Amino acid sequence: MPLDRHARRFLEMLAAAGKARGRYEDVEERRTALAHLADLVDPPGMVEIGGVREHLLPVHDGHISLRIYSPLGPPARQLPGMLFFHGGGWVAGSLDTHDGLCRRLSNETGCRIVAVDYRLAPLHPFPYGLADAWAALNYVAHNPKTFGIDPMRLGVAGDSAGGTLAAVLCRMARDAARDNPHAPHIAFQLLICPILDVHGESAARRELAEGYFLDSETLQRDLELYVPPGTELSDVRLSPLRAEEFAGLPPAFIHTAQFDPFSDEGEAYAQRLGGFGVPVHGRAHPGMIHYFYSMPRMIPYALEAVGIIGTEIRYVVDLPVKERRVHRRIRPELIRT
Amino acid sequence: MSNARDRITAIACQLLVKRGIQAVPRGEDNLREAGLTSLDMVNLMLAVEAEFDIEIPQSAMTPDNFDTVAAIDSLVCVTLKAA
Repeated sequence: MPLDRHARRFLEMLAAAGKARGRYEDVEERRTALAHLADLVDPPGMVEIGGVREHLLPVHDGHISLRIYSPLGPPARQLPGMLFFHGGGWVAGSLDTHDGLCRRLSNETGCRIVAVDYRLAPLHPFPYGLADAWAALNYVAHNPKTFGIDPMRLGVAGDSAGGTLAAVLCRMARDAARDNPHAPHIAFQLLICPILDVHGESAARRELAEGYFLDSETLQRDLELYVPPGTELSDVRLSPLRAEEFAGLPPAFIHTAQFDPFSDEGEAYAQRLGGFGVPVHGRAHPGMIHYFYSMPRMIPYALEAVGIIGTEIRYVVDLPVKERRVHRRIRPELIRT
Repeated sequence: MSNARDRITAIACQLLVKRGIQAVPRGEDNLREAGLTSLDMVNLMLAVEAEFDIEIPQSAMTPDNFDTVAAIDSLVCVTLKAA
């Protein structure tokens, strides 16, 4: 399928606008660009929601903010929950850049969403962000009443670089449970256009390296800032796709985009999980580009995609579905149509 | 009703104000040099399309056509005539 016409138009406009391509020097430039993009395509605070509040969580060497979203509907003492980790190459992104997405995800999934403002590189390189994510997961899982969340229906979610964190948390929680009966239980993982192998050697990485919104040189610069020298890129905490076994990981919902450099990684991860008996659902969204799900003002299909995700998650957390859809396991032909 | 160039200038001014820049670009001033980011330029394109109820054709989506208020004015005139 060709590029969605709205996505194509967005890429044309970016090209005509003289989008700064490639390598950036100043990380603030990268952060500002993502914040400006969010203002343009999905401004924060615009989606009606049941409630929003913030919580400050002490972590090693500091504090991080958690933003808790409650879905529209009658107030509930306890709801299924979902920790959300935003994308932005581990160097950019914020609670605000993904505020619209979190609001829609909360309404569509019926989950109370806890968005985590994990610390970013270069000031906090790997594994700081992951440690913050692990701290947030443990805190929410062990204090469910504080958040009004059912700890047995708590999932993790993330997009792009946040998807890496979510995927790795699942592995950490599974491994921790072998020795610790109080390790957090993760009921599901939702990975939206996740980065799952930082080696970046897939066909999609090569074929979509430039001109599809996220350029390879930008990604390379993100990685330079995030990964300290001497760290193995094949560390499964950076490249969970490189793990050798996947048994016992939580059910996965993996959403990829046809014209996303990370699409092959999502497909391969789905196959690896499925090969180890992990239930996998998801969709390869045809004609779409990276970050499409957060661009409803530019790419209307973003709303439909989040609706699809909402239906999937409602099934797994045992909430009434808004609309019944047929789900298919990810297959290669669905990814690269 | 102001003319097209005034309406385009007003849109550019609104975007510059969002960047903390209080300036009225003249017709030939380069808008990027005036302080608009690339995403502001996308916003400008969308706003111009909405303001004049036009869709800028793909063939006209070039950086030169959005450098200045005067260039955008010309583009709008051509697009309106072609409609």
